[in-house]
Amino acid sequence: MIIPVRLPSQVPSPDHALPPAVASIGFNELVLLELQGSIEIEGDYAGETIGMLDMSIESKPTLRIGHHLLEGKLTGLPKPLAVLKSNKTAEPDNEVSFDIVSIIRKKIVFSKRPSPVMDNVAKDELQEPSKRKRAA
Amino acid sequence: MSLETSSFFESPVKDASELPSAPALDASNFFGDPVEPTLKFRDNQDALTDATSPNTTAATPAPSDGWIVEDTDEPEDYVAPDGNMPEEDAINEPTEEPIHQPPVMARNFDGKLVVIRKKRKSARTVNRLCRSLDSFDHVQSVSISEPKDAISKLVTVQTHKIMEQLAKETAQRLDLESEPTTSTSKIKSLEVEETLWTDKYRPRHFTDLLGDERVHRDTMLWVKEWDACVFPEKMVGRRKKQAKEGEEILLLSGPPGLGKTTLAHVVARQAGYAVMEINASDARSGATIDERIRPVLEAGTKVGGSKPVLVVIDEIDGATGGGDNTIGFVQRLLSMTIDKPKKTRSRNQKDTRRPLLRPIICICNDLYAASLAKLRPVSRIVRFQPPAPVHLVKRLKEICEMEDLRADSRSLTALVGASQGDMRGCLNTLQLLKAKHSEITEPIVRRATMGMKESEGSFMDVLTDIFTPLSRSRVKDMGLTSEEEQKYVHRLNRSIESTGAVDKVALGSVSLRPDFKAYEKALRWLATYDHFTSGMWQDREYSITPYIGYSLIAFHPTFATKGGPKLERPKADWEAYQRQKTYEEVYRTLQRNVLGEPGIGGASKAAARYRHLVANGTLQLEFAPLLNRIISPPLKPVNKQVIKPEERLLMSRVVEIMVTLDLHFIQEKQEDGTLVYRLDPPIDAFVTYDEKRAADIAVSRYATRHLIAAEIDAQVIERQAEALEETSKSKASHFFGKSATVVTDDTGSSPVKGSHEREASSPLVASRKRKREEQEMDIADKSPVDFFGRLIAPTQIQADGSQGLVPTRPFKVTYKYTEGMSAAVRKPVKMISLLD
Repeated sequence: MIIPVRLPSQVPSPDHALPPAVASIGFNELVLLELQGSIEIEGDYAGETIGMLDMSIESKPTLRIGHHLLEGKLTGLPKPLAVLKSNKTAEPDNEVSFDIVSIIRKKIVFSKRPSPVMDNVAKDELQEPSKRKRAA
Repeated sequence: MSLETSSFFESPVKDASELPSAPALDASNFFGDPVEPTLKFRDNQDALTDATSPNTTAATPAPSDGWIVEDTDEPEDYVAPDGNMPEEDAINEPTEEPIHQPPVMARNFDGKLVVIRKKRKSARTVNRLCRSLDSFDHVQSVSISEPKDAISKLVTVQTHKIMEQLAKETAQRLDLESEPTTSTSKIKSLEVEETLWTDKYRPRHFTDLLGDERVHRDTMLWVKEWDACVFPEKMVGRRKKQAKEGEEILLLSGPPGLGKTTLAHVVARQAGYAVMEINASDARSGATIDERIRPVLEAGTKVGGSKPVLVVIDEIDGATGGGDNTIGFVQRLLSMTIDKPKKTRSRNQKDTRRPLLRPIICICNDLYAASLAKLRPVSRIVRFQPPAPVHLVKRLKEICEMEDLRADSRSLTALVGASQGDMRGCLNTLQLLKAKHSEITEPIVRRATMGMKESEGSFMDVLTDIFTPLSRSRVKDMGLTSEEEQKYVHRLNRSIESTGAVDKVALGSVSLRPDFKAYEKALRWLATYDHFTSGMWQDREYSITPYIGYSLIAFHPTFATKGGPKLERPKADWEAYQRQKTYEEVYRTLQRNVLGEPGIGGASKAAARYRHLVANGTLQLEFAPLLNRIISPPLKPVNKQVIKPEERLLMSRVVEIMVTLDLHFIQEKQEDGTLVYRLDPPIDAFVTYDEKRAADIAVSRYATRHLIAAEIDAQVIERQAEALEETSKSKASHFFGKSATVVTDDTGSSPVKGSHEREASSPLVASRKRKREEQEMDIADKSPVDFFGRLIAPTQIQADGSQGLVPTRPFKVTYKYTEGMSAAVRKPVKMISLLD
């Protein structure tokens, strides 16, 4: 069985370049976040913000999750990853095909021990409805 | 005239009028010479004559060391540099001399000028000077002839050398005179004494060794264990050149004269080693190890030898020398043997430090000497026992035959008995006797061995002596007559004093007293002993010391019985000490509990209020004994349901007190399987004497204790819950989302150990628990919890109707950092988990 994988259009339109879930957090390039650790979520997470990624300093991206401030670094992926989108339609006989939505070439590695931050500060900032993850 | 300071000596020539005139001249001050007082002052005329004849001045030499006092008016008087100077010099230099060596001038009380010149300190010069001054007319002749005469008169050789010489000559003469008569006998006796019999008949081979063969084999075995290390080429099919592991030192112990040193030497020789011995005659300090033993051990052989070396350290228990570091020797020895292999192993044998490669045999008399305490655990210990007298006698007989000494078995047995198996002592005695007698008889042996082996003796031996009558064989060994046998006072006193530990003997006497028949008598003697010792130590009446031993001797006629129980080392004092420690700890725990340091609830508040109860003395004498009575109420072990109201009151009171004081009954299983409740802290130990309780304290039965224990546990849990509710209330709003009930549940589920069964079995506790839960529910109306302590939101869920019991918690994100390498990324992840 051959599954066709189509390259994305050369000039991706911001509208349909990414599926809605991905599109909300990025523009046309995706960046992988690599965490040494795990994110634990309690309660109803629908519509909630996990953390805040700060890329204002290019060399020192920071991620704030709860009371923790993680400091990471932007590195290239040794093997780029492609984000595929399946084109499965409702038609029964249609073969499955994938569109390459985006190619991930970079990742931000958070490997250091997180440093604790003040509770209220984190809370206030978490309340802000700003972009948490945005494309680099 | 008095010259005060040395400034005079350095001052240049001054005007005579400036110099102070003194009434008298203490000449000896300047010369330090007893001859000086004879010095006389010349009158002016003499001085003038003196000045005009330079010979005279030349003849009175005054070299630069000291000063010569001379009476003269003329400042230009000079000093000749040397007494042996020819006259020409003196003539040539009269004007120059004062400039270089200015004489000091002074005036005597007559106003005459006195010139003080430097002089050599020798008495001869002064003497000569005096003479020259006295008989001025003969000055000329004297000045020339005197020096030669004086020297010729003196003895050229020092007196003590002459005396020596004379003594030598006399001795030689005397020697020559006496030689023809005594020389032959002297040479003969010298021949005999050349070698000690102990050396002559020392065992040369392993098979010659006398005594316990097992000991010899053990020693040999240990030496052979080194073969893998020392003779690697001989080992076949084994790992080569490996250091010996464990028990690197052999410790031979035993009384003197049994052949420990001989054994070490024989075994070493037999096994192919060269022996290096360090014995009592060597300085045995820590430095010795470094200077002598370590180089040899590391080289493996002695200088110039090919055989591997075996170090024998004799009398190591005496190796406490070295002054500052008393255990330096043993310590250093240990560091050499123990530390090294460890280090090399860790550093993979690439180090200059090497493991111990050659065997060390240590020999000691007292295995339990303090200095050997550290050596004992790391060494193989071989104990020597005196060999059977039969063997010794046999050997001695052989030796006597070889030495042409007539001796019967009886006398030799007596000798062996007296020496207690000390072969060396026997041989020495025999040799000594040989010099005087040609035949050995028992009386001779008795006389010769008198005092032998008297100095030794541990306090256990003394105790044995005191509490057991002399055995037949012992009497025979000691060669006592039946009359002497009855006289024990001196004998015992000697042995008591020889131990040097009278107090230990006394302690042993107290604890080893086998029966109480003559209790009163013994008690009196002990009182005397106490009286003496306290007097000695308190008032420093050390003159009592010799009499102390006698107070213990009385135990011998009182208690000495044949076939009594074997005496054991007294340990009552140690046990008492241990018990005291334990009880002190119990009291301390109780004290802490009363003051409420780790206490629960309100106990800590009572610290100040109850402090008077636990004051020193009050606690032991008033509080604890009464407490013991309080916590042992006369309760009947009945079911809680049918307990009488007054008894219930009593019980609740007891429980309250015990909880407050943190006293618990802990269930324990005894060896026979029965269950008991033990009081903790065990304050009931203070009312129990020899497993008997005080009469007025009710025996706490198992069932009663069970009842109380259950109540206590319930009470404790209740109190804890109360305390936690207080704290949790204040904390309830803390830490977003974290509810107070969670905390309560956590602690609630960790009650006192082993209380679960009891809880289940006692309905009272159960009811209390239920009550507590109800109370909790009242408090927790706002946030009810489920069984696991999670919050339940019943209204919301019911309104939803979708999911049964989903906990609604506020959204919370936490990041959990994982230590170590980031391996998580390598985990295969399905794409869908990223996209979904």
